Amino acid sequence: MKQRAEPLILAHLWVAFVAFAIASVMGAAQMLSRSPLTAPAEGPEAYFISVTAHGTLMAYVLPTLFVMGFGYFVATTALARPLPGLRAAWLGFWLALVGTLLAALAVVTGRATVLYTFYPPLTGSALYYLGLVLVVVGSWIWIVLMILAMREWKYENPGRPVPLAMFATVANAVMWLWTTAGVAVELLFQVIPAALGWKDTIDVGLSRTLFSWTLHAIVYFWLIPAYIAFYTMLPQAAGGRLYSDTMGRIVFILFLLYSLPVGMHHLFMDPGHGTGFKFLQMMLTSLVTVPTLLTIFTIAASLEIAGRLRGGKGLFGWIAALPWHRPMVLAAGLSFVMLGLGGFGGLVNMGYGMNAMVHNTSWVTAHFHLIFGGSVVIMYFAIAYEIWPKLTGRRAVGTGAMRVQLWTWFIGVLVTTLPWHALGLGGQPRRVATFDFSEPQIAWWAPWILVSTVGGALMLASALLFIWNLVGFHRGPATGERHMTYALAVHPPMHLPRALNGFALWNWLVLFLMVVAYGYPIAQFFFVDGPPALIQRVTEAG
Amino acid sequence: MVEDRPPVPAEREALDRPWRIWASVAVVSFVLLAFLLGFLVVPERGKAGFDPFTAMCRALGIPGFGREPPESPAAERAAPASEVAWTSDTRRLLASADVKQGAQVAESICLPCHGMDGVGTTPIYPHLVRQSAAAIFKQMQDYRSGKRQGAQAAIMTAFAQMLDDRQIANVAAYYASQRPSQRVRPIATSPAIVELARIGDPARSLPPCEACHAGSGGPIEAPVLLGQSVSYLEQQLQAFASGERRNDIFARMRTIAQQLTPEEIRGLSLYYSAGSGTENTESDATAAMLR
Ligand code: HEC
Ligand code: HEC
Ligand code: HEM
Ligand SMILES: [Cu+2]
Repeated sequence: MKQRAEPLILAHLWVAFVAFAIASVMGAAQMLSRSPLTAPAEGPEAYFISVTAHGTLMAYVLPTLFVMGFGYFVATTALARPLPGLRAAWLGFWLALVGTLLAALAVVTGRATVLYTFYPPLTGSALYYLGLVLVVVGSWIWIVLMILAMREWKYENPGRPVPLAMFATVANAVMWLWTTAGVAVELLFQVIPAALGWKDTIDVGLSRTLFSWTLHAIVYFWLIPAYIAFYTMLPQAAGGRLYSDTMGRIVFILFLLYSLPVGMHHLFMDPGHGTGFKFLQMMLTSLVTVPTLLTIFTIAASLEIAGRLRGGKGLFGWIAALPWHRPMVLAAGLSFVMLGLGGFGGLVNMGYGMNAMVHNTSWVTAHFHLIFGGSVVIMYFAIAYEIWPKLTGRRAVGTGAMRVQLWTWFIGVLVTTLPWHALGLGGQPRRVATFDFSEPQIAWWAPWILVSTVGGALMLASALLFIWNLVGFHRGPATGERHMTYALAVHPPMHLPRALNGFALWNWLVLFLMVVAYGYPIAQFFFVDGPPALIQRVTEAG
Repeated sequence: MVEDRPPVPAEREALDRPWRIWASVAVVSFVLLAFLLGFLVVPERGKAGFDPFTAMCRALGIPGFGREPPESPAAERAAPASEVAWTSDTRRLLASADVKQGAQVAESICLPCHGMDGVGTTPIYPHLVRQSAAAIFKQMQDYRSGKRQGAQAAIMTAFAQMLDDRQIANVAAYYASQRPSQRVRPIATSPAIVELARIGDPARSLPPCEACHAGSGGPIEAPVLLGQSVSYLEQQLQAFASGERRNDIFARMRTIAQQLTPEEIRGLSLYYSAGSGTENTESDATAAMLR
């Protein structure tokens, strides 16, 4: 390799994790603000600046930059060839970084307190949206490079199966292209013209529908790195093999197919759509349980292989025999526990009727902190711990601090989110800055909120320890060892049908599904007349 | 290794074809099943009397197709509460209003009753000083079109009919630009009244008055109540309660006022009056309330 990709990868990952650390401080402050204790800078203005920044950094900047950096890592290590277009990749990085800074500037100056979902007709400074667009455009460059890298590798290795880690990464890249189409159209044709003052009304039904196009699939975009780790890193770290490579491919294909035509489950409460399409998308939504169940089965089987190879006996003895001291194995175990709890909550959200009960309450916030902040982000940590030595050519002094960090995150997330779920069922609204606990009807919330505030503080401590651990790698003893080994399958595939080695067929099917699921719901806005909403500007309201 | 050799094209096609076919069949048939359930089976059940076509149109969300919504005699009788709509044209008209020309209108017509500074010259003339341009504009339009009735509306209708849309926008902008000379605070008469104003009464589905009348956050036409005279506030609440005044969009105020007891109407009026207009005629009652 002439030009090394490590600086590129480290740049992406560091931006992601610094954003994460800053946002964690904000999260803890928000917890305080909502609690009976006093927070620094309490009050709605400061709160909505903070929540908008926290949501934007955590939901957009952290995962996007992380996925990009990790994708570049997989492309160079799994394919064992240099990245095509290193310069373009750097351009993508700078676009994303400048975009992040622009958006952050707009938010912290109080001109874009629109929350990370930026639902119109509320609009803020155009800088915020332009910043987000730049981040997305930067990631589009990444998509092209991922597809190119796989294409070139296939050309050089005709008929051979693309390594699973890369296959999954490209699945995510292709999915991300479909995913971002919705929000990009919303931003470019509706929100930005509104924010610039070129229009004074906006069709909120259409904008919510376009946003929903993105809103569910983006969650899988966040999640897939964790799944890549489950399939291609965890079995290796546990000392075993992947139970089935084919199963892995099918799972990532199912994510591509069924993450997209389901976003209207976020619009169950919207009056702008008939029940028929809501029903269709609810049915499709239920299919996402399939890849999840397949994964639980495959990964459990892979771990069992590892446990038995390590001498585990009996029905459950193999579990105890796993190398739990390795961060990757520990993180995966904790992640599965949180995924199990969160999946149960997800079933509640999925039901048309039950969703009505928890809509816009703390239940929702608790749910995604558990699933995303918990099970997914803990795998980001584990991946970082796994690949940092390869990126720096140095190793950590020990894994003790990493284990402490993973455990505190796990405990912090549970202590934060379990009471939060209960509060949501008790009617606590989300996105509210302060509560008047002298009101007898809500007085009982106070102790629960205090508990979850303690959990938030634990999460913050863990986030800071994580950064400390990463810095530790850069100062650790040099090994010069940069070779990355991915898990082998029990039966490594020799040749595969095109369907399991590329995405042409699946893209056609996604197109079919999207036309069916979103064609009429979007088209109706152009022939069924609805009153447009007047744009409300953040700057005007003050 | 023999199996390491990539397959020749014919073998390859035999490997690919079943995937193509079965994947497509699976996806398409699942969608068909969902359509069948979502558009025919589920919507028809429970909604007795819908033929399949109507049920499908309803599931699609096409308004007015198939069976029309049942004719309700009330819907026919109900004329819109107001002719003002917050369209972008209305907003543009307000945004382009001319304060100087508004001042001329105020001087030539409104001055004797509302003053140049928007302070009512006697308690029967409401203050315009803390109101937004949107609030004043809406009321003037409603007086002119006859939509605002009850209490002393007839007085205002005559004046409003002397003005056109632009003049109304100008004079609204003029009064909205006036700054009050003093800060006022509500009078905390009794805890129950304060609670009604700030928390509402969920048992009666009464939202807090503050949700709409605090100056921002509510409907843009909601007037500021603070500092208005007791008699005026009370009169208006009674007019809403009796249905004489019915120019509130979505019957927002009628629904609320109908649920208030006369004592609450009195207490809330006093609370928001901040002592304004209580000097002479009202003083005994005020003293009684404050006790
Ligand atoms: C003869 C006295 C008089 C004159 C002149 C007059 N008003 Fe009024 N105004 C009233 C009275 C009395 C009311 C209360 C009417 C009611 O009960 O509906 C009122 C009510 C209003 C209201 C409704 C206030 C609210 O809070 O709902 C507005 C707005 C208003 N006047 C604006 C004007 C403007 C603008 C002018 C000049 C173009 C004007 N008025 C001229 C007596 C007058
Ligand atoms: C849902 C919002 C909302 C709530 C809650 C609300 N109001 Fe109103 N109120 C309005 C609007 C809007 C108007 C203007 C109606 C119109 O367009 O003429 C209004 C008008 C009034 C008026 C007439 C003011 C004037 O200057 O003409 C009074 C008095 C009033 N409200 C009192 C109250 C009181 C007391 C409460 C609490 C018990 C209350 N309102 C709660 C929205 C609200
Ligand atoms: C230190 C750890 C964290 C704490 C203490 C924390 C706390 C909070 C709080 C208090 C809110 C506001 C809830 C509301 O107003 O309803 C919030 C919102 C949010 N958090 Fe976190 N959080 C943390 C970590 C994370 C992580 C790791 C993620 C995802 C990667 C995340 C994503 C979000 C998102 C997307 C929102 C929604 C913002 C909105 O409603 O607009 N948070 N968080
Ligand atoms: Cu979703």
